[in-house]
Amino acid sequence: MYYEWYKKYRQPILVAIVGLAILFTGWAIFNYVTRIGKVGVTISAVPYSARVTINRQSSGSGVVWLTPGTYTVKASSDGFSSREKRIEVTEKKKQNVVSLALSPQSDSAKKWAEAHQQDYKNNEFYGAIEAQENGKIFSDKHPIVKVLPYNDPYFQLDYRQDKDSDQITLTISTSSPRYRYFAIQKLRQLGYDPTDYKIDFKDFKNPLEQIHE
Amino acid sequence: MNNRNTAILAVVTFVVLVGAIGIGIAVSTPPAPKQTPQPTATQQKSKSLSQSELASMLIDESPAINLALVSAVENVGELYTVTSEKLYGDGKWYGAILIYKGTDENNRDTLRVLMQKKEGEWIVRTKPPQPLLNTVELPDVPKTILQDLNRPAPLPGTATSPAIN
Repeated sequence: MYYEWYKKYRQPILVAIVGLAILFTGWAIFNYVTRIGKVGVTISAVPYSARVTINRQSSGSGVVWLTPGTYTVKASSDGFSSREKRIEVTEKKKQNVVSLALSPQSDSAKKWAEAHQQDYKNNEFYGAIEAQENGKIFSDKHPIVKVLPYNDPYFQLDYRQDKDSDQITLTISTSSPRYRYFAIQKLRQLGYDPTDYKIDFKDFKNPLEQIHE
Repeated sequence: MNNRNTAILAVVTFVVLVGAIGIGIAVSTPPAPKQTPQPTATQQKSKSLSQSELASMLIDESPAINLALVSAVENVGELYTVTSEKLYGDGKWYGAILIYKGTDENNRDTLRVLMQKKEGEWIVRTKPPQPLLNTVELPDVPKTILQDLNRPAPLPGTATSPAIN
C-alpha cells in the first residue's frame, strides 16, 4: 500500500526532500558566511527580557557574532537600574562573555528580583567566566601585574586599573623621597621600564603643583 | 525524475546558494568603533642633529628656554637647580633635571621637565615638572628622550638625612 502511495507521489516527495536539503545547506552557508571573521559573544542579562544594545544598536541576550574590537554593551529594563560595560571582543579569549545583572529599583522590580533569585545566581556563573577571561587578557596585556603588589618594608609598588579603560597606573606608596627613588630602582630591577607607565606617587606633594591649582 | 525537474532543482539550488552568500555578505552586526589614531613619535620624525650641534644650539636657545620655564613654572628657580639641560632630536625638544634645593624634606624628589619649541616659541610640556615622564601621557614625544630624562638622578640630602627618609 505504501509503495503504491510512494509510487504515486514519488516525484513531489523527492522534490521536497531535495528542497529541504537545499534549504539546510543554504542556511548552513548563510551562517558560515555571516560569521566569517567574527567571534561568538554570549550576553547574559537579568532580567532576561532586558533591552540589550551593542554600540547603541538593539541586540538582545544570547549569542551574538561580532568582529573583534571594543564595544559598549548596555542593558536596561523598566524598574531596574541600567548597566553598561565596555567589552573587548577578541579571539584570544576562550569564551567572550558579558554578564549584566540589573539591580531592581521599583517595588514591582524588587518583587520580581525576589522571585527570580535563581536567575541572578545563574548569571553569576557567566560573571565568573567573564572575570576569569578578562583577568587572563588583562595580565597578558600588562605582564607587570603578575609581580605586583611588591611589598618592601619601606614602600609598596602596586597598580590600579584606570576608570573606563584597561590601562593601568602604577602606584608607589611611601612618604619617603629616598624610598620613592628605591621603588623606581626596584621597578627597573624587575625588568620594567618606568617610562612605559603612568606612575602615581601617592604620598608625594609636588612643590610646583600649587602654582597651577 | 526527468531532465526538466533536474534543471529546476539545479536552478533552485543555485538561487538559494547565491542568495545565502549574498545575504551573508550584506548582513552586518554592529561595527567596531573606529580607532582614533594616536599621535606617535614617528609623526614627529625629522632630522636629528649631532650632539655638538645641539650643544651649541642650546647656548643660543638657553635665554628663551629659561624665560619660558620661569614664566610657566614660577617657583622653579627658588626651589630647584636646573641641571643636565639638553636639546634633543632636531633641537625642538628640551629636557632638564630639577634638583630640589628647598626646605621640604618630605617632597625633595628630583623632577624632570620637558619643553617643546612650537612655532618659534618654547612651551613647557610637563606642567608641573614630574618625578618621572612616561609615554602614556606624552605619546607624541620620542621615547628615547623620555628614557634619557628618566635616567637615575641624584636625590639631594640622602647622605645627610635619616635612613627612613
